Amino acid sequence: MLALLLRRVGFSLLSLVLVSSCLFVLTRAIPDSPARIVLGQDGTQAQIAQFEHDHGLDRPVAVQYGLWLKGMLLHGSLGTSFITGRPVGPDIAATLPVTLELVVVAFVFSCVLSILAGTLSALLRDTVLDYGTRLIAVLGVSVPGFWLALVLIMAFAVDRDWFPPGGVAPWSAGVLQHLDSIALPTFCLGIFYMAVLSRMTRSSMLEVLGQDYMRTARATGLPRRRILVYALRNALVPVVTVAGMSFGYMFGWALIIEAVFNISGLSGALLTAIQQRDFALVQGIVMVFTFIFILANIVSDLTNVWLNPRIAAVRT
Amino acid sequence: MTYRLTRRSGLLAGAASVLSASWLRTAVADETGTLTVALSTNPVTCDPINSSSHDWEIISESIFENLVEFDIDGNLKPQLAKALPEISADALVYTFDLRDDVLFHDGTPMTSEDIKYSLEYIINPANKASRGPIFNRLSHVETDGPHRVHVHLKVPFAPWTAFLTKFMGVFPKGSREKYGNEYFRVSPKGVGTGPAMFEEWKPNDYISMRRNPHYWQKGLPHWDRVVVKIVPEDATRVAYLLAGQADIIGAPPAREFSRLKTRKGIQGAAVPTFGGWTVMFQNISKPPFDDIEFRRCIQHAVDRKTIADKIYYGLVEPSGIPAPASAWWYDKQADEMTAYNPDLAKQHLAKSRYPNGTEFEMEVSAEPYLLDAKDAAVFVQSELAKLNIKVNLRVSSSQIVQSNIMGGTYQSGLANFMSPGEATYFLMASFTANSFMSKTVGNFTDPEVAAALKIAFAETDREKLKPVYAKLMRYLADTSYFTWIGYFAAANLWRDRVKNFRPSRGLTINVYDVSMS
Amino acid sequence: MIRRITALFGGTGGFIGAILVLLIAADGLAAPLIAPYDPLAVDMTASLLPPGPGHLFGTDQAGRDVLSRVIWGGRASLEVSVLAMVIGCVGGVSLGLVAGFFSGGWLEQLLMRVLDAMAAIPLLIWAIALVGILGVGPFTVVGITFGNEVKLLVLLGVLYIPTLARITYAGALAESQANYVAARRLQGVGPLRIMISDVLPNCLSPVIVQATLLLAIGIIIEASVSFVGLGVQPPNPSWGNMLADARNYLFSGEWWLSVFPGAAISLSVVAFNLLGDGLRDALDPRHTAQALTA
Repeated sequence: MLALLLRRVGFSLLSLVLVSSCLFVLTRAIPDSPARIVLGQDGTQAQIAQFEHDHGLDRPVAVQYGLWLKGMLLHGSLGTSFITGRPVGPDIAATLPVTLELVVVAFVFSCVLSILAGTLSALLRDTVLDYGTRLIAVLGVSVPGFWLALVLIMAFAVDRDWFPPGGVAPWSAGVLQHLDSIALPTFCLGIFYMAVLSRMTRSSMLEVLGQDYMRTARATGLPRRRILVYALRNALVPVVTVAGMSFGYMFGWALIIEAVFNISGLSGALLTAIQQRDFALVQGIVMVFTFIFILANIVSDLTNVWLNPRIAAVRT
Repeated sequence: MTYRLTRRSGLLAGAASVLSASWLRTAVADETGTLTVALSTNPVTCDPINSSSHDWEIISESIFENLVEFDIDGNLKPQLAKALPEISADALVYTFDLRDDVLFHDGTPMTSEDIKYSLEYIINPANKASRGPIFNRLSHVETDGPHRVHVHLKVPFAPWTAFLTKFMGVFPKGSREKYGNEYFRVSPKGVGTGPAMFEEWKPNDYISMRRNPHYWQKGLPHWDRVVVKIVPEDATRVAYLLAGQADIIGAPPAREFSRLKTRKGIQGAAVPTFGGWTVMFQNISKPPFDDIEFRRCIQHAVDRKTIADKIYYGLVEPSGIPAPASAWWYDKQADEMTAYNPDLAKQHLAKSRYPNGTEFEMEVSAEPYLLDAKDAAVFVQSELAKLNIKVNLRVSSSQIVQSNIMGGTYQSGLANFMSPGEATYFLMASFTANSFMSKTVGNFTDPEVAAALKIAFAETDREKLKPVYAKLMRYLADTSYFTWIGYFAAANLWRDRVKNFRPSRGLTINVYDVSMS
Repeated sequence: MIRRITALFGGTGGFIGAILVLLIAADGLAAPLIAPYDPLAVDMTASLLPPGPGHLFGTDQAGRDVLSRVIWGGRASLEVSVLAMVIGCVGGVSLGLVAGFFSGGWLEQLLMRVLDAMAAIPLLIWAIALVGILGVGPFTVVGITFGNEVKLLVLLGVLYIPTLARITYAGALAESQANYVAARRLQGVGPLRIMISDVLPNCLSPVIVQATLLLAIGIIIEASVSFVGLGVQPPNPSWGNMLADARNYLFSGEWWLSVFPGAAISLSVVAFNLLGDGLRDALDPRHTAQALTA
């Protein structure tokens, strides 16, 4: 188990280095200098040279990358924004919690509901419940989240006064009000994954239930509950893998959901940074998301080892 | 057992939705002391001497004040001065008597020294105030006791008092050195005299201000707090208004404006601005716009009336010259010289270097700054396609578009640009070299414009100025530097609980007198 | 007869999916022929007409025919999702095949580690960020001007590679150790030939299934990226940017602006999913449960 963990962490670090250097080269390879964009109206040649010097943009890309890596490892710094001139780290830290909360709530909501619905629908195959779950699963993957968001805002925030049409109320405004304000965005964010994961749980569960050892277990008269738990442990393995990836992917969809609901989270900040062409900030945010994505994948692998220890043996 | 579980979770979901129902919402709306304004763009600065967005001047205009104010009807009114200035016979010295009951937000009284400091700070090129060049015809300020100042000009320049509201503010002597410019940009606490005191700026979310308890206009303001929210999406901004999350919104979607303002609980109004250009900027230092015949072709190929009626639903008043039809400096004959005429457009194109058409790029803002420009851009694109002129739209954020247009790093751009609403401002900015918009047209001083401006700066009698402007407008119609489409209206929507509010001719939302029921 | 055809697609669901996909593909290919109007033709006198005989899906704010724009928008969506899938398949299958067939060597290690690194990339975030970094707008390569969406589809394709490579790798690894491959080797057939004519066909089934599901995801991604203004650029229609425009008409009741492009997205996603599931049942019955997310 420990060996697996170390191995995964090692390769993940390698991935991060590769991926960040790609990103770094790409942001430095574009023809128009960020200085031109930032200084805009009155930028003289001298000012541009000064700007590039201040931000170290006049050095070779490899040196810039080295300095960036060094800054990150030694000072935990993610660089300095071209637009505001402030370090991007604190700005990211200020907006990450909102996005993280949305994603975590949506993730928990979709995992719990989908595993529940998927399991039930496998156990009660070809009943109304099964058909209902499958229908929702089809709709969930096929209705784009941003479109659903617009419809829900119309129906429940404007026509009816149930939810606010946008923004996240701070905790200080009251717990209920806070939860109320994140209800629609988390629903729109989670519904796609609920659909995907419930479908997976269902088919994985059916597969496990159809295995010979399950029939044997039932024939030997083991209690239903123990059989169910055992089946779930096995059936959940592929679900956990996909769920782990989904967690990372959700930050991408959060970008669109935050735009529609006017939430000032980190994903929304990425969109603003792109529009303002603040590559230092874009780079910082993308690295944070990539890190979270990799972390989520490691956690899902470890969860699988815990669910089914045989996997550890296979993977190391 | 399994069935019961789902039913319970269904019940839970139902309970949650009931809990989150309307009583929670009403609890929020009852917070009467806070006025919430929703705007479409992202702020860049709170500092009036570097202000870049008329939307966000709501912040600088509420925190900072000036000698005189260009009020919401477009009239000059005393503010920190007791009365309008006395002007010397040679129009070079303006004398202001100051109020003696004004305190800065940090409690120190305002005196003539602060006026001298503020004005001389902005006109000093070393301080790099982006709005500094507008005031560069000012020479210096002389104090005459604590409550009187004489402002000396280098040359006659009548319009300067009209620019004080938007592009300058009075701050305490020594404050720039003490706090630094970044402080004025992001957290100007204690340095203004206005009814609102800076509270907090949450990037991408809102800027909030608190009531100034020592405000010199006794009894004002009526609110405790003003929160100015950033809501870029049109639909979301309207939803904020309808759901009571915002009390006043800027840049209402043109099409829905007339329908929304009659909706129950909502009010709306639009007033024409005197300084709001809906315009296609053209960089004449770059092809194809360096070709006058090509520019004339575009001039006649744009159907301004259709844009005004069908895209802006009357929120733009068509005009082919830099003068709104309702303003005193408008010239009908000049406007008619730019009339929509596809045949004439073809003739000019045939005479140009591009008889078989060409292509160019057009910058347009992704989010509406003041008004949406994308639909108008798509319309112009389709009209020009008929002449075999291909327009490539470049859609980016309004800051980028503005920066490209003002920096001259563009070919053409369709945009809504706002000025203080006075005849000379944009002409001076665009057609004299080394001004903040010089690079927009190509950085040169046009002698015709310069001559007319020289007369306008020294003369205050409108009747004497009218023939000067008529000649100038005809000249601009002929040279077609820019393709003016019209002047936009300032339009706002607000909830019934907002009292004493009207849209401003100057466009920036003004909350001085607003109260809430 | 019908039974046998439906069985080809793994049952009724798959068959319906196949028919829908065929219709959508026809729509994409024949857009210039079937669209009743020019999707870019602005007619201000006919703006915002509700659906009626002249314009079956109504017109938009610029008087453009919504039906024609939905048809042409489908072409853009399919262009992005299909070409991205093709790039992903070509790259993924060849890398996976080589790594699997030459297993045990340094080549396998190198390829798999690079693929691992690529798999550590969250798809949508990277696609959006990279399009943003490269800049929105048309670009020119060796004299040919491409639309902005080409950036998106190339990036998506590259980001698909690891998923498809892993699937191919697993198949190729198993196949290359099979007895028949050893037999072919003994016959003196060259390794390249064995790889392409023997191993490849036998590990394609799961790739086809996955590719079909990727098409569904590609459509949603294209719509979302265009929705935030980084995909297909106006005035060219795509389902995503049509929905973005329709946002401005949510409160004034022009429902046809949002309903038709929205329904088109949903229908195509359902179609590709049905086909993908059907194909899995038909081609890859021993499959372990798997699903794709993005």
